[in-house]
Amino acid sequence: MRIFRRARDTQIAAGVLELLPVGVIVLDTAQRVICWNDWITKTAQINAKNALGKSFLSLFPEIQGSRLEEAIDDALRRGHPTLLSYSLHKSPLPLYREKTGFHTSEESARRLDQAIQIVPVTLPDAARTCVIQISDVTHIRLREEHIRQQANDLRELQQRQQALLHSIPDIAWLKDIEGRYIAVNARFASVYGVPIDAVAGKTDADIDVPCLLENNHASDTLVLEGGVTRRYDEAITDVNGRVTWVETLKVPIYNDQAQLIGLAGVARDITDRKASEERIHFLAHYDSLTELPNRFMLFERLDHLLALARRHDRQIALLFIDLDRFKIINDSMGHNAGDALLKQVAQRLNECGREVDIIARVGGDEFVVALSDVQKIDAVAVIAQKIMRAVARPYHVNGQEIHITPSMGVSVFPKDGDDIVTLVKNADRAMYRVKETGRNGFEFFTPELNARAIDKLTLETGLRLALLRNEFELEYQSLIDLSTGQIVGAEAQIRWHHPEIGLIPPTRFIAIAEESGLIVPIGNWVLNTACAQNRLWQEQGLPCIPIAVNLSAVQLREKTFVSRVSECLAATGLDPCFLDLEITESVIMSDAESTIHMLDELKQLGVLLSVDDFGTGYSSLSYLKRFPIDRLKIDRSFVQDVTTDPNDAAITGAIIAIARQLKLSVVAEGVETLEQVRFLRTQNCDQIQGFYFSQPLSADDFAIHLKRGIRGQRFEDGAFNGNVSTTRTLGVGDHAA
Amino acid sequence: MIELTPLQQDALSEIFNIGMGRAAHSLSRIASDEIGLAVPTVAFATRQTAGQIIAESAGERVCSVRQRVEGEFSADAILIFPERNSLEIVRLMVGDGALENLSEMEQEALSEIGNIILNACIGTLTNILGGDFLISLPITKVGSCWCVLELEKRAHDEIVMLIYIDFVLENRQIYGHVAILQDSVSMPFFIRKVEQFLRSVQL
Repeated sequence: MRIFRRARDTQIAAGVLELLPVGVIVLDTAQRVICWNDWITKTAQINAKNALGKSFLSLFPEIQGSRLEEAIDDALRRGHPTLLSYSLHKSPLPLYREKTGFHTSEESARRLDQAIQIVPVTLPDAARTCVIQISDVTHIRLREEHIRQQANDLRELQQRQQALLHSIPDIAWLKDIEGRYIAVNARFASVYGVPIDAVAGKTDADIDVPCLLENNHASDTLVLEGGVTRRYDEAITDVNGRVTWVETLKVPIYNDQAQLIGLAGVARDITDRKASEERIHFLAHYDSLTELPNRFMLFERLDHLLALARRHDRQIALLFIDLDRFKIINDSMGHNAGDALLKQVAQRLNECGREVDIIARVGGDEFVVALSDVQKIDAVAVIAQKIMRAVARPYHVNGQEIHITPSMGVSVFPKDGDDIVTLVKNADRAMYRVKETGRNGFEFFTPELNARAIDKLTLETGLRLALLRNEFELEYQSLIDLSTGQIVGAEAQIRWHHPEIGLIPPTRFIAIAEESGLIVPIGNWVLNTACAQNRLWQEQGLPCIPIAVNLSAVQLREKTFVSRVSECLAATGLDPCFLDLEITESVIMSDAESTIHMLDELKQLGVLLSVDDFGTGYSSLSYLKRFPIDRLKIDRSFVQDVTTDPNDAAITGAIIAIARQLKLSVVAEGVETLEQVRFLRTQNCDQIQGFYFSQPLSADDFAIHLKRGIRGQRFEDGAFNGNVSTTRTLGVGDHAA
Repeated sequence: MIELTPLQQDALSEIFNIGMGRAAHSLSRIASDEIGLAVPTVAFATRQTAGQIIAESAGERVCSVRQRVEGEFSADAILIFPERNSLEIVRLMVGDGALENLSEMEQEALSEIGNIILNACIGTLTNILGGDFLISLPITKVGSCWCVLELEKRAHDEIVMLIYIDFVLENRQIYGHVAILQDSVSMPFFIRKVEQFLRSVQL
């Protein structure tokens, strides 16, 4: 203060003191106020006049015993300066803000935020005083609270972001523009085996997870340099070395100024999705039962094989395999057994060696095997035989031994076709040829087979027109009672007079009619025609005999069949006992349970029922007993050799004996020689049918034949000594029912 | 290192401890918690050596509170904490959430804490030396140990009085150093004064 000239010192100093934005109080050694500036007057609401000369403690009694009092004492007695910070003391003195300008009027809230300095000052006369300087630190406090609040907000925001990040079940991370991790979630840490805290600020190279480095480099560059969003599937290796599939999404992050500042990434585990995709692919390309390629896959792979074969001038063989009588196993043992068998067959095929390039299951019991690079056709035959042997070995299913044989057709590229469809079709045709000629074998495709197929097509087209054009005719073959020689019945047989081809035997067109379903209208025509004819003959006074009509399996499957028969009888007025329905043994037995039901219904109509071709199929005697049948017709194949083959003789004898026991009458079909007649007579066969007595005759001829019998020409035993005669006439008595 | 006799050293520690008792009392009142303050050793060293000793225990970054003492004897009294500890002390005393750095008000609070400890040291010292002294208000400074001790500015062989302070707060032990950097007092003078004082106290 020595800079002031003494005269005006006090005045100027006092003026300055009043202007100061801080409070200044000066105490003498006895703690009496000797200076009190305007700031204090305002905030303490005590006038300087009232304060000066008063003891500090009397003005502010509440500071007694406080650190402020201590500090004043320290300053006056020891000369120690003291700082009282706001943080540690808040508001030591009862100083207040002005009421206006602050929204609260509560006294405690209006108390000033204070920072106080107590400084000892020794006067020239060695008297010690102390200066108390008080600052309002409200603005500092508010600023710091604001900063603290911002920091808290930021921390909370970070914590929320962290929580959000961790709540994502996928692997999630944030990276800055330099590719350094800003944050990763718990899943990231656990999958890659790196602590969350150890990742921040590091790059993929720094954290040393090889999979991240390899996978991220290229796509991160695209996102961080190109600002593009990337979505792709990738395989990742976790900390345990396990590989999982993830769908990764990387999105660029921009700041308010639209500057690219980093990327956000998530990787979702899609192992399940991949697995189901693979499953779908598998189901689309493979047969789920045998796990062999399906037809679709076969064609795809054949396409490839054919392309190779064309390029390298090679041959390819296609083997079409069908299991003989698989349906019987399926029907008799159940589908589970059938499935088990198919699996074993697939396995056998798989075991057939390296030469086999493709094995596919293309249908219920149909398989295709492809052999590429075929050098010689002979080699194909060797492999075909190998497959035959493998498939024909006995199977064990549900504790039962099953024998099944394959029929196999072979086509060869390029000889038998240049494209897949043709090759498969031709192998299939060759396979059908095997079926027709007795199954259990293999056959190569030939141009003749092709011709047959074309033939078949011609016939099918012709059949559709045949009924309309009235090209069918029935012929009748008589049934002779072996003891009386009388005509006791006849079998109606269909003939087709094709306008161009001429006469076509049933063996050539029945199968085609069955395949195309035309057998139903044709069968109805036969039934109606035979019944109407028989009724006509009866009205003409000819002997009443039952006429037999052959039924097809397809007809029997028609739900309306029984009512159709009944309608036919009603329409023609024929007594049901003169209609004999012939059903082959294999048709009856293939679905015995439902057949019984239908036969019962037919039987109730009053018609006769015969089992045709008996001995060629598999018959269950227990079923035979339950069927409401009247007659067994022994198949011509046994009758043919009864005099030369002891086995056939024994079988024929056995069938006759069974029929006797079951109280059924027996007819021997295809009887052609006197020796056969004699044998059958010794076996007590009831009736015979065959060329020995009569070939099938047209309706008119048969009527004459039948009438002649009525005229009383007797069956002569001696006739058996003569040659086979188609015109031999027979004695006729009453009809045999 | 300037050797004191074991008796001298014990006596000095004891004298400083008396001053520290008052400081601890003040601090405990502020913190509403028992705060222990003790002076285990008092030693003399060159400024260079003192810098090494402090840097060794406090680390490179330190927080300092400084008060100037002027009179017959002029010196700077500096309280030095590791930066981390200074934060911890303030938080424990103020009882508030943590920022990364000391805020303005927290620095002021640290100044007050330092002020209390330094006043105790300076008071003890001026008692020993006798006479009138002008003592400044405390100033807080954060920086390297070298910078705080002003090693670049001053002669390295000046003698520094090192007072080792043991600070116990809420079961936490925090160590700090008080360095008294003397301007103009020769060592023999100081030792003589100490001897005199000890004799007067013993009598």
